[in-house]
Amino acid sequence: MKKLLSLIAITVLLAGCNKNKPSDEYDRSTLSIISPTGAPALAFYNYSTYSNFETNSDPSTGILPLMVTGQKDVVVLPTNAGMQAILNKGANYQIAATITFGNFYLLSLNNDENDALDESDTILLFQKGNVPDKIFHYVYGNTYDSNIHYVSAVSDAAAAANAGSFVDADSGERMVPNYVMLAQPVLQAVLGKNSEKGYRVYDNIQEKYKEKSNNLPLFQASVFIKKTVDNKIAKSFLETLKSDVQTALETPVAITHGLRKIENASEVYGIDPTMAELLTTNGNGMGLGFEYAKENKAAIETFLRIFNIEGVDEEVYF
Amino acid sequence: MKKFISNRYTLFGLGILFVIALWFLLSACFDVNSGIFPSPIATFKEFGVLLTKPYSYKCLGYTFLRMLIGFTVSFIIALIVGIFAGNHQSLYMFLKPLMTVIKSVPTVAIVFLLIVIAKPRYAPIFVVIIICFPILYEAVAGGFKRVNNELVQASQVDGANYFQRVLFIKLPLSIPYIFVGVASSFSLSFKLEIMAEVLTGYTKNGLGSVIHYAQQEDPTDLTRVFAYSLFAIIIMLLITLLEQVIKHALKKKND
Repeated sequence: MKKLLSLIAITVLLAGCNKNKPSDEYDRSTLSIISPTGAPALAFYNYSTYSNFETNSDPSTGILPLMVTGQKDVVVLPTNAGMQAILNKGANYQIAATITFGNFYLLSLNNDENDALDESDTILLFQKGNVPDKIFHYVYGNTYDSNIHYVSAVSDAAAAANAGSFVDADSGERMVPNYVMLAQPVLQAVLGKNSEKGYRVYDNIQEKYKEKSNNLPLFQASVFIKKTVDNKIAKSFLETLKSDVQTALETPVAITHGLRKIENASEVYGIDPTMAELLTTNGNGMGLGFEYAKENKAAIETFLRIFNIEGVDEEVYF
Repeated sequence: MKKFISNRYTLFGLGILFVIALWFLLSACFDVNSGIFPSPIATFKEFGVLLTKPYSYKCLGYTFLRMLIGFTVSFIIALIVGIFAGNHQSLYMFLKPLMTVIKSVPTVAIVFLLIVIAKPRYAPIFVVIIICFPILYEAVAGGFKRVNNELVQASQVDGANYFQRVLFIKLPLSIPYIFVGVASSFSLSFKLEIMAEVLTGYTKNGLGSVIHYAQQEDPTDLTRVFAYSLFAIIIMLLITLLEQVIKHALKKKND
């Protein structure tokens, strides 16, 4: 009986000690996180085995509503979409950091006689009125508008590049594009599939963006943290994420190691692990990085101005 | 020879051959760029590759499990509500507008709503529950209403109470109708589950997720999309075959 009592006492004592453990300690399973597949998800390569981390291939239907209704602690979204959710829909989040700095490229299909982008060339963009379209117009202006055509998704733009033609949605006419705007990793797949056709990257849109905006990078996708998350935990999470991103940029093989821990990495992250490593090694093609939002307000506001978002309050920044 | 041709299993087999022949024909007509409408050969080759990957079975298993959960829940609710509605015309009429609304709402609208309410992970299960419920409910309620009233009255004269009449007279006599409802909504629920997985954009373990990824990875080559779809088709063929066997056995028993 005495033994049993002392055993119970020890158990109670240990449970008490456990309770005294600081609650602000962050480990990767602490916060619920959702990210779009593709470039932004790569920053979370160390979260592949955690059930609190999930991705969604359709940010506008699968992530944005969850942000507006406050269902996740951390939400990753295109910077403009997240900010609009906060400003227009009252989403209870703050912008904390940016982790994707652009993965857009203009592909030349090697069929332009003078090999220079001009008004007579047929240009194919995707997502009319959204990020790719807005960025293109910010960089190149409206000079080429008369020959710009659209498809709905980057996968459709890739299909058009592979086929060398597309059906214009307005006229129903089959057309041959000279230039196609694409995002990584789709661009790499198209280049690989059409190596004999002489397809090449005509412009790195991120670089063009920088030139246009006084050397400020393209703050494309950002991390938004729910206001109710403990400040210390949030800071710790961001430090961990920053360190993860730096490690990935210094040793891209870390991405493969992280992603390969699960068998369905390609589906979950929207990119093959080897391809992710390759693109990161070759000039950081996915635009992976980490910058705190508060320290880069000018760059974020430059980006937001493209979407007519202005006058962002200080309290929106974490 | 005539007996061989009219044998139900021979006909079923011939039907499969017809589908494959039709597939060959359509592929030859529409496959302008290799892979847009893959041929049965290309699809079966890719299917062979997928068969060697354990992840394919995991996806199939998860999709089937989620569908089964949704279908079972839907069936249980439909059985309970359908029994009461089949016994009480007033309740049946009261529920009619609700059933019409559920049946008429576009599935995609339900998916978008459920993404917010139930999260992308669980939304497909609820889609199956909501879409299959009116079909199963109508099957149960309709089956109960079609039971010969004289038999029920006779049992009442013999002293059977309400629950005895429902459980031992009406329910067994309704089974053929319920079975038809179950059979038609079961295959529908599998398709719904996969479609909902694609629409929710959820990326972990599911036939819908892998089909979506395969399409996004290379929209000009749908061979892998077709190969994954083949998993679903084979499962449904097996279920159809099982359904035929059960129907045959039930008929034999009744005869």
